[in-house]
Amino acid sequence: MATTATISLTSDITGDALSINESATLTKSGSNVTNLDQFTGVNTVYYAAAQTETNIIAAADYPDTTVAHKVYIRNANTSTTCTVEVDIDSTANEPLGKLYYNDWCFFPWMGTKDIDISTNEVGVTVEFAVISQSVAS
Amino acid sequence: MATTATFTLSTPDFTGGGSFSVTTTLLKAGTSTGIDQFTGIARVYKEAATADISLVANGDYTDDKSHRLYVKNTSTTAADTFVLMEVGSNEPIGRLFPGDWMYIPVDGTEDIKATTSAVGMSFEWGLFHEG
Repeated sequence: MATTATISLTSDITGDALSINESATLTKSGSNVTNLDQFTGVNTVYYAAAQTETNIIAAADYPDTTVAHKVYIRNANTSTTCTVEVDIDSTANEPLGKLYYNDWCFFPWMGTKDIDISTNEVGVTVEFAVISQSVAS
Repeated sequence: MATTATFTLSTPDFTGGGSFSVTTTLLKAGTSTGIDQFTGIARVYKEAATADISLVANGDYTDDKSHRLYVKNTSTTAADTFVLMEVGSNEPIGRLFPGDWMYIPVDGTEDIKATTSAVGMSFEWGLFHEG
């Protein structure tokens, strides 16, 4: 059995309607058969106050570079004005972008830099998970 | 117009073999209005390993808006080859190995670049955006 991540994108923006359905099997760096062996589970965190560059995933907790970690984050709120900004690197705080109402993201992570979030409202709920390898390849 | 993005994670080897799925409709920032611009899905093929291929350039899109980037490594190269994704001043996000995909929000103030690690690699990408 293997862990799989699937994305389905549908859109009628263009005249030629888009329908993408792609599935990836989550394997270790340098292998297409050895599965990732760690999973945080899906964490749900409630922030009573607005957050500024709050660390949710610490690079120090994971092996780095030759790894195939994957990160999932979701803005689990129902307000259209509530945002969860995702940053890479607790020092440089390079913003990836903002997750709006019910938005999610999923991306590979090298484990070299922290992942932080900032929120703009009180009472914000964020979901996140890391699927990772215990030892670098 | 409606654009939806569904994520499904199946983890049969972990925590009791769970699976979950979330679906979101891509809306303009702070509104209930659907995103209405899309680059289409582009396919990029690089004969040689190539550094810093620009997908999104700082300033091409408005800051503090709702932009979404999809990238998939479509290469059939060896398992240890990858497309390195970076943000801003070459800050590493992570490595997309053959078959891997990513879907992230994009801030209009940062570059997003891809670097292919080997010869004969390809990837696909598309951006849903507000201009």
